[in-house]
Amino acid sequence: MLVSSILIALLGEKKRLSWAVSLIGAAASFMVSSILFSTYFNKDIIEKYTWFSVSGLSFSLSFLGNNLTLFMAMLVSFISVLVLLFSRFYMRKEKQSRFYAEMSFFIFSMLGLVIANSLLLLFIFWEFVGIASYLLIGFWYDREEPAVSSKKALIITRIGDLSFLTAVIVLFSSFKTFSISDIIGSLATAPHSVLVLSGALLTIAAFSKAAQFPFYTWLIDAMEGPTPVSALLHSATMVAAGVYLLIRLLPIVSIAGMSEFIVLLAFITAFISAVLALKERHLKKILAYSTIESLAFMFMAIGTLNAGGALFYLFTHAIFKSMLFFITGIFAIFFGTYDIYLLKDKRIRMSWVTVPAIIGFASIAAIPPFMSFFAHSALTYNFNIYENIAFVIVSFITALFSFRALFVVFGKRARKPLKKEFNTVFPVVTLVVLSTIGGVFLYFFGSIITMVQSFDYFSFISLAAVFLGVVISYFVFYKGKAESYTTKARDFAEKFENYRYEKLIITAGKAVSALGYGLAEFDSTLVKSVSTAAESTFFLSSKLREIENGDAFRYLTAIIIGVVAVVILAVVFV
Amino acid sequence: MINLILLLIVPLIGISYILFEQLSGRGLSPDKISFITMGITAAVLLSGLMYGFIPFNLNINSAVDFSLSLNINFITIPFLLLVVVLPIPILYFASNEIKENKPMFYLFYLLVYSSAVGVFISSNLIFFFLFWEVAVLSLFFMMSLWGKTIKSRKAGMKFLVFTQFGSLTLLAVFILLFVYTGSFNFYTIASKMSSVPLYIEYVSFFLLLITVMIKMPVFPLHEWLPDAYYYSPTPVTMFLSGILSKFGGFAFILFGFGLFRNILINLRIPLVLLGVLAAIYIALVASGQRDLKMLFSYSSMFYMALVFIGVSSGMTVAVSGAVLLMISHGFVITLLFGISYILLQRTGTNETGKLGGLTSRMPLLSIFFMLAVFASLGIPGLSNFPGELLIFIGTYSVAGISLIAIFGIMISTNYYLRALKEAMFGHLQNKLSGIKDLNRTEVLVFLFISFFILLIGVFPSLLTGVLGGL
Amino acid sequence: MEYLNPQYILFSGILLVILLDFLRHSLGKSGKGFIHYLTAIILVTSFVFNAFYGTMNIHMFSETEYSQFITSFMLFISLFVYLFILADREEHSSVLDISYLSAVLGATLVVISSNFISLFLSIELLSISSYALVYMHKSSGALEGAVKYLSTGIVSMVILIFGISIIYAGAGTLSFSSLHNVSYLPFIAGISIIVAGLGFKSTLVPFHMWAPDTYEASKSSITAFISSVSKAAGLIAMIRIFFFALPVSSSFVTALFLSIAILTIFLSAFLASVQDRIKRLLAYSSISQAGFAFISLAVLTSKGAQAAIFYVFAFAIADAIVFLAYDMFESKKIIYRKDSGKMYSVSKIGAVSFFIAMLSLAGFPPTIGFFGKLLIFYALFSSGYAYIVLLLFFSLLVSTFYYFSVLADMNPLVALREIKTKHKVKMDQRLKEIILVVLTLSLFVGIIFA
Repeated sequence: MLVSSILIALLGEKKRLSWAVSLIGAAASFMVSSILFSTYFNKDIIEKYTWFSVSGLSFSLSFLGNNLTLFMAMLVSFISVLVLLFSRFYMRKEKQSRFYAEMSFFIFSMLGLVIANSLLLLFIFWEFVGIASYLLIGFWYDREEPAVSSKKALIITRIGDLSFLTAVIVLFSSFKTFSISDIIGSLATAPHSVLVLSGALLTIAAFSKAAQFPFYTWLIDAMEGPTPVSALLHSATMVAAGVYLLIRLLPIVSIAGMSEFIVLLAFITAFISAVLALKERHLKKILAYSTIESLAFMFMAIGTLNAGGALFYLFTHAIFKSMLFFITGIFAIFFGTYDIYLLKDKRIRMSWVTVPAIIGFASIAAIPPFMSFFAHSALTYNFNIYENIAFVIVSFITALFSFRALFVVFGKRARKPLKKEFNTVFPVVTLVVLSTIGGVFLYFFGSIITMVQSFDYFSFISLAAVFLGVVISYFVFYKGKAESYTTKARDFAEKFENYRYEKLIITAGKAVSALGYGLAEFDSTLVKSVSTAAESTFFLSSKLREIENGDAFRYLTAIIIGVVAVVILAVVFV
Repeated sequence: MINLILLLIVPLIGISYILFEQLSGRGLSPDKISFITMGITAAVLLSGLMYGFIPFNLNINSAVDFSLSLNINFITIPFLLLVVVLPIPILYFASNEIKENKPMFYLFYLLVYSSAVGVFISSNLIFFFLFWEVAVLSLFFMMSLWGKTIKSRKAGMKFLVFTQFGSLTLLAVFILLFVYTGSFNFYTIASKMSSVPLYIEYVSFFLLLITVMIKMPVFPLHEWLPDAYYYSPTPVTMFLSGILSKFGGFAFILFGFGLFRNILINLRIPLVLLGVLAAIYIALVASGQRDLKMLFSYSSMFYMALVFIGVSSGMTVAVSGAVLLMISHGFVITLLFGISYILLQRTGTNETGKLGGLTSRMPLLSIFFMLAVFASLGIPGLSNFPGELLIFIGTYSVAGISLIAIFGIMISTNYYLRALKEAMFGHLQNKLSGIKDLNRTEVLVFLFISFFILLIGVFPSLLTGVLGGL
Repeated sequence: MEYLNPQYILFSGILLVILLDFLRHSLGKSGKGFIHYLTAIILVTSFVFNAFYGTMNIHMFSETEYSQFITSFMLFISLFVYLFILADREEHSSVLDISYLSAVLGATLVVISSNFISLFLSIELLSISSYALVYMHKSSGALEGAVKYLSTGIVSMVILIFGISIIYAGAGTLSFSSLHNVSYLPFIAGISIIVAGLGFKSTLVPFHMWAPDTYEASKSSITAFISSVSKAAGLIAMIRIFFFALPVSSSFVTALFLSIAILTIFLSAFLASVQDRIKRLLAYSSISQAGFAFISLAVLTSKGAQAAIFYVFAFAIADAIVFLAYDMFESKKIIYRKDSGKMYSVSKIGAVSFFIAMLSLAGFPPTIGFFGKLLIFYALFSSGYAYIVLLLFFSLLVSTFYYFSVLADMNPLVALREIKTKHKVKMDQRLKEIILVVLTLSLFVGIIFA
């Protein structure tokens, strides 16, 4: 498609104007995808190319343009435009060309990912976004932490990538095609085991990309990257790719019987991340935990086969979460810290960011009238009673941690207003407006993907729980009365200690490398043993050599012995 | 139409020119001669690809069916591309590394070059064997004479004796085939395979397997490799990993898949299992290496194990994947060894623990390093991906266990990223602050290799298109 | 025309040389040189006549299919070895000429003997002249070497005679053509004892023990003759007996031959790998070559015989080159393996020839050594002895090791640095180098005889 080719061309540009170029590229792709969206509304178009073919199997790459994919393309490019605007502000002191090149590469791959119809192509772009994420997290290559966390991110997502690859291989082997639409169309012909296997593998892939339990740790560390990167990759788009994958391949997942499993894991993830967010001091990491939690919500919806709810929540989440990241980025640039208690002392209440921040954190907690309230109601549509109860509990904790952050950060009144700049104000305000009035979109969404939403009484129960949470956190954190509650909460959270789980992983990793070292030892012994064997032969030979010491009599003896031996042999044979 | 003999004549002219220069003692320097020679050969190959090749035949002794017959068989062209192109960038490292007795070195260099070409195009098995041995011997001399330490001498001897066993078993296969078909010509043998009794086919196949496993090498018979790769001068290591290890794969495909296909198919499950075992084992061993050159040596074995899995499956798709992966691996591993060589030259060490944060001093190098690592990880768009994909797709349908090898890729992700991180990212160590980045020639050389990595990655159809008649 | 064969010419040549030696004093100083040139001319003519008219064909000596080829390569090697001795410019007595010619005559007669008596006499002729040749080297070890050679030789001859007599007892005749109805027991016993006797000449284990000492003690050019032509004669004699005389197709013979051959090959390979002195290493390598030629006899098919003959030809030439080249190095005090780096500085061409000949001995293509091994393996495979071949591979690995450790020690890098100081190359060295080049070329051209 046009979009991708524009962005590829853009990758070459690495000059002073790289920002402008990538911005124009992103804007252009937004325009193009909007035009395409409106042109091809309610039509399926497939563009197909054959990459290469071997002995009758053709490896084809195809793009699909329908309402869903083009909507996603629009969303991605829209957020990208805003993020690029913001980066102009955030990255002013850095080497820009590399950053924008990598960003553009990411946007290109992400757009490719959403409109791909061939599994192979989807996998290719899936890998591309993984690589882009690796490069962008490790953008500050001369610091130790980004280097470590980028490596970690790539290794963990690579588990998913490879299981995705395996799933692609498995599916291709039984369907002989890569086209998602063809595969979905002929699911009935495939043996059940293939579907179960590939469904499980796809779930792993989605979970690792979307940082769900047990893969969630990389996303927290990924916050070492620049904030625009976190806004674009690690909240709005890339991590949502996991969700998007399962939305596209929902029939396989449901036939494979993975749905209950997904819901279960998603609940565990949501609970853990909400609790951990409660104890975190690092503002960006709080947002990261909240991202993980939101993604878990989407997976819950997928697990209950409610693709529409998941997609709508994805859309909602992309908007308010990137806005929150922008705000964090502004803090970081002006105050140089992400720690919420340190930020409290900087006295920033009543600056222009306060209102957007309140709206953002309220969106996390899904308080009406913001868009995320409607999204929640769409999300929970298919839930049964147990799921609803669990959801209520999680919502409560969510409200608790989001308002904790809010109250702590904006705890003290500001002395002087923050500087305003078009590059910061415009993206934030746009997103604020969207997330405020976004509930309206709910009524257009039906044409993109089948979606039902209703306000049942559980919506209101959870709303009540949310308000309870808000109130509690108001008393606990804003009034600052009860330090003991905080410590208690922290103690509680310690039990779900991120790093304890980390330790397990690290131990496992160490075990593997210890095994590696052990085997390396073994292998070098093996390598040496060959030489040793050869040398011992020579030792034997040098002993043998002493038979011949130059004594002529001995030679004669040898001859006689030889004759006798020969004759004995002859006698034996006779 | 280009006669195939030209591909051999041009390097031979180069060799004799070097000899002549050495006797007369003036004129062009030998590395330039080699460069020109290889350039002309590449041009010949290119025009041959455009206008087609003519087979060549010259009978020398009909009693033992000894004739110089050159022909293009079903997998030749990709390999030909590899061996004709790859030594050109290696030449740069050779000219950097080799200071002593250049004429002699380039003599051996061109010998390896021409014999590698010869192996891939000769259809007479005696000549095949001849070229095969000349390549091994020349590499042995390059290794043991230009290696810096006494260890390289020992490693060279080990390499020679070990691979010589593989060569002898290959010779035994040829003779067995000759006994039953009365010919050393590949095509004659292929048409008379029905006259070979089944047990002889089995015996030959096992002998071939030994050859292949030594040459590629695959796990239980790889003991020569770490020493040989580590202690030889870098250009020689590049030759070993980029070209010589492909001989094994080539022989496996040509004879194992081409002649003994039925046996291959009968034995595919244990063979794939062996390959998987080897892959996992090697990946684990590689993750225990602290030295870049050693790490790359082991990782090279890992890809060869994947190739082994691919060919063992006996599926056309997987075999094409194996060819693709071998070609691509040739380029990638050369790039990796080039990087480790430059790091060694600039910093004096190859241990990842002693490096760190070099990206701020060597941004260009780090770009190539990342490219090579990504290519090794099988990132789409770079050359390893199509090969791996085809191998796994091909083998999955007959031996699902092959997918376990994907776990090996996971382990290799781990060690590659660790190496990348430890060497290039993080804090810069103080004593490394004076390091210079790549100079212009080095960038050109690396770009040349990377061009092929990208080319194969983006347009694998270039190679799959010429894999006719698989 | 039937008198124009090499054997007659050699014989009359010997008489002529003896006669001229008597008259030497009247011929003056130049006479000695003339005798030497005459010897060379005799060898040349016999080679030429052999090529045109074939070998002698009378009562106890008869031509066979291969005798012309064998004789010609023996004469070819002898000629060049003699030319090499001649190029040495070192004064040698005319007794050497006489002994040399007699040895050559003996060797050529062995090829065409068709009777045990004539075979025995030819071998004796060859042996006795060889003792003299070994003794004639002006070194302290020469006497010792000659005596060892002599004493083991005498014992072996006795054993050979004993074997022949057993055969005679069984068959009532000694002519090869009428041995077909020999009875089983004497046949078995006779054969085994004959093998033991001939094993001396062709240095098979355990009758080989004189070889390293004697090779080392004699002058290298003479060693070249003993290890190529003389040893070839011993092997050819066996081929004569077992393929053209005795009706052999018994498992006993195969087992005997195989065990001796494998013993020879392995023992010599292992012993060679631990030698420090180059000449001893070469001696053991030459023993191992004999083992290879012998093993292809074991299959008792005509393919085996052809392979053996070709292999004898192949290794004889290569051995001759190796020892001749080593003669040049030895005179520059290159004795030990660690000195072999200096070879290039002595003679570049000599070193290259040495190098190629070693490759041939190690059996690497494209030299004839490779084709020799190819034919042997072919013979073994086509008789179904695949496992023997696999066993042989291991010995080949060991031999690869020692050949190439010498070759790698030769290290052209060091040598070429030293060679920068150009020293004047003497005329005789040039001559020697030309001889070596001719022989080396024959390593490649020889392929056409395969």
